[in-house]
Amino acid sequence: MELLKKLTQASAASGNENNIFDIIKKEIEPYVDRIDVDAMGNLIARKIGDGKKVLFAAHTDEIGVMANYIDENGFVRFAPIGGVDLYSALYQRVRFHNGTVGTVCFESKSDVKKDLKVSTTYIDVGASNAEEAQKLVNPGDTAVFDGDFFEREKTVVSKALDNRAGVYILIEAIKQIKNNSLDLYFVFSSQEEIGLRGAKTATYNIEPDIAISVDVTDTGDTPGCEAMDVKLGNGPAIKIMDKSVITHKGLRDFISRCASDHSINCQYEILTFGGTDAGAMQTVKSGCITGAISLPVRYIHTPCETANKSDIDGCIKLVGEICKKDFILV
Amino acid sequence: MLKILSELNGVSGNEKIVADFILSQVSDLADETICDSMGNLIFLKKGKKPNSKKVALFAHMDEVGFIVTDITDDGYIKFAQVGGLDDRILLTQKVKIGKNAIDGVIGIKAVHLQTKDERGKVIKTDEMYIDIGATSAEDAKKYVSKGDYISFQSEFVWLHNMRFKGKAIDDRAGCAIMMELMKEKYDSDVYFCFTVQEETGLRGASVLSRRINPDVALVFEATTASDTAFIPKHLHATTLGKGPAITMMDKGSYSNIALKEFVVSVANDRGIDFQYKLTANGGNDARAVQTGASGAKVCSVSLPCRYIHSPSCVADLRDYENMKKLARAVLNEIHNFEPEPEE
Amino acid sequence: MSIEKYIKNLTHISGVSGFEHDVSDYIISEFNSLFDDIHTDAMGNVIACKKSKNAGGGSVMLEAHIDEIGLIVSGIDENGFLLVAPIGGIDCRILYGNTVNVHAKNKYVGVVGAKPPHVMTEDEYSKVLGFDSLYVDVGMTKEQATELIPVGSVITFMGDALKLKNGYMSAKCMDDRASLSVILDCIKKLSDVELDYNLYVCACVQEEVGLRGSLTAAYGVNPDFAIAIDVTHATTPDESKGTFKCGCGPVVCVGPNIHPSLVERFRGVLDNKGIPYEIEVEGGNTGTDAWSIQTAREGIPTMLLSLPLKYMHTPIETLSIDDCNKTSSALCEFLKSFKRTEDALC
Repeated sequence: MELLKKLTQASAASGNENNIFDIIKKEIEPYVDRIDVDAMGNLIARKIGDGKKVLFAAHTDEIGVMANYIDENGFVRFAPIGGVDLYSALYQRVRFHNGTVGTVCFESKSDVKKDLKVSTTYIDVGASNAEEAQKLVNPGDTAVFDGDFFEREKTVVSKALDNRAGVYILIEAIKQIKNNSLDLYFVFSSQEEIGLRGAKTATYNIEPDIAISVDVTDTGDTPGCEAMDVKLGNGPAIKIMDKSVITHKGLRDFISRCASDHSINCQYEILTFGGTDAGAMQTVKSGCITGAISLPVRYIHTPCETANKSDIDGCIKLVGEICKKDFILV
Repeated sequence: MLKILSELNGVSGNEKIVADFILSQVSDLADETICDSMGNLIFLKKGKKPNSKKVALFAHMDEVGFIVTDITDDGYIKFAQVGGLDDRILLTQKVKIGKNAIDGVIGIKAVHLQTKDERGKVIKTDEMYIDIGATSAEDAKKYVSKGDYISFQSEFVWLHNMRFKGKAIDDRAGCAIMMELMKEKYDSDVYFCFTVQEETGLRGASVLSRRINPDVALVFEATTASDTAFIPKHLHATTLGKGPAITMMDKGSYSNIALKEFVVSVANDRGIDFQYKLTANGGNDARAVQTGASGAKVCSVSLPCRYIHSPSCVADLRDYENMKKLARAVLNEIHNFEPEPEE
Repeated sequence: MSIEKYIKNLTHISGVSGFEHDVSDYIISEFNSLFDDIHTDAMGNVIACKKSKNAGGGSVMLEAHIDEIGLIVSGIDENGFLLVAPIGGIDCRILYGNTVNVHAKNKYVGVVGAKPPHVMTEDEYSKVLGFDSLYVDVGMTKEQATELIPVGSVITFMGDALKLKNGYMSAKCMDDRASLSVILDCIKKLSDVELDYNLYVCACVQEEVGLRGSLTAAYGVNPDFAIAIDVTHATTPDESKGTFKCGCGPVVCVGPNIHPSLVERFRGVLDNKGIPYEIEVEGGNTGTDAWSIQTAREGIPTMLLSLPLKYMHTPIETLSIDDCNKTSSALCEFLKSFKRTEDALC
């Protein structure tokens, strides 16, 4: 869990994924044959094999904000990066990549119930004028939301479990794989939160036979939430569909068999909103067989994203087992 | 039998097809047959030990449906409801129109073409139209006339657990049970009444009860089952699979307590499953019979039926069989029914 | 087989987006004799080819999608009722009271249910029933449903095609099986014709969830030009704006999605042969596979023909068989009107 803590507490808003490359490289270097970084900022690790080309993707970016205007009094206006919910962002701390910490505040004369918009919120970085502020922040600087990592008996809570948990799962799975016959590509993909962009170009270059994304999904087990069958603690969720993808049935059945053969509890995921890298990967070139494994996470895109530790272990085991197979798809 | 009856079309006021079918099946079994001016069918079976008690059984032949009110210039059919229907179940249903059973569909503009406001609005029956493929009013009039009756098209299909779906289970289920009961002889004189226009206001039964003036009347019906998703248990009016539902009181009638207890005791003696109907909403021919002439002791026994008044009623064959068993047992012992003298 | 028969058979099969295998299996087994090669790609698109004896004449792609809108089981409640979510654009107002097929290990019949009137308040009565208050009743207990109907099973409307007067026909998923029927009919008419180019037919998946299948099919086939066939809205009493009358022949689209000289040539052939057609002007996204095909690879000249259809995305999608026949003839005449694909594009 130390590694997961390190990964989640690193800051890498979309476009700034290289901030966490050193952590990933250090962990996987002894276990893979090649590591490359492409033009989009995907970090691609390969374990060469003679068999089918299989690509796993976990995105490295997280949601955040970008400063775009500093007023004469030193307050910073911003644009959201990815799906930022202003209600949960309000009065949170944001940490710029240069270390500056600011707070997201609201124009107090406005009615917060009606007028909460990007245009009525600002970031206070503690500067008393524009000049002071510019020493701390400049337009184009990006920041992520603060959210400490802490561990309970069964669960972990942190910011950016979406999707450092996925990154962690791939890293730990890579460490387990020995003598693979599949030709394995692990894509630590960029810019998922702003449109599934990195995974798309990586898939274009690699032309895999099979692509599987590893990401987080919502759950349906909290009070007054949208109806959904996924529960925290019921194991990895095999995605059937979301707004971006309907996964390949044969691959889905294969993953499910793989889980039951190795006594990994798993569940199926039907998400009526949201998307993941799988959606971009499926339709690249003449298409590839695509699936997705999701870690159930509560309160996604908030500083208190919550995941179950045994679910994380289940995901690692499942990815590891898939990598040991030769694919026979029906 | 239930399948055949369910697939016959007999919207209130137009029950002839159903009546003719019943007549063809059971008139041999009756000692006396009456078809009255409204279209009610009455069969008398004389008792083995005739006594003074007149027993009458009721089931209605009609079903909810529609009637053609107008034909548009473009050849689409405008229509009104006959009996009570939820507007929201009508869109995209397949229907049969008139004597020649012309196929048609209830149309609605595609979801793509609707504004956000329209999507959130319930469309009322008078805004709907039926498409029969006609190219003009003139063309449509070759096939359809104002006043033609319209019924749902809905095949009778088995679901899981001996459950089935079909239209007009309300009240062809009651008809089927009475047709079955006519095969036996009973101690008392029994009038089997197949009524018309229940759905438009119990109109058939009210004239009929004045003709027969029964002492005891049992009404075989279908009633709403609400043992469905999103409904808390205390609002389950009836539940599929728990047996026929005995009415204590509904909006239209108050079941005679002695008669109800007699029915219950017969069920208990024979070990036949039954349930009480847990809502006082709804009403049926029992109301018309109870107050029709000099007053009758009434009690309704009903088949629990989900999505009643829709093309897709769902009911349970085991309930139907238990209802038949209970009806037969009650009829075999009805001569022993001695109500307490009224105080 | 006539177009009508094709439509009857093809609309009978179920193929919700992402679950089209029954349709693709049927196409491969029933229509392989019309083609020299037929296979599916990674997405599940059926790609069939009628090969030319002459090399170098180029290739043409005809496209229709084979998926249909539907529902997916997203959960099972404590009493065995199926909770559902939509796949593709469905008007939830039309669902209540409809009969459906649930596709699990076996096919089960179900009814779309909602709260009965006597437990509804006056307020609720006038409200549209959304997916949070609709469910599917298959008559099962929770235990049975959990065993027999896994979460993720898909649901389609039940019911066979219904013939109306004047050659009109009603069925589920006329969108877009009617178009596929038109294409197959056209290929049959061309079976004795020797073409100088390879003619591909792509029966594509996942149109209703975002034009996904056609994108990879077009990449794989890489044709010199493509003709997509889909449905468009026909005039009904509740909508006349931007719609087309049934019975007036194919609707030919023009706009930025459409290759200008290709469509000009197409219209010329129709005028010449006296085949009637209507013009549809679309200033941007046509919302059809033509939109995704156009930008596959380095760009593919694309055309769009549409069949006017009433009540789109319902169990009673209604069209005129005559329009289908006219569209098939139009397509056939056009495909015979040139030797090499470059002739059609100049």
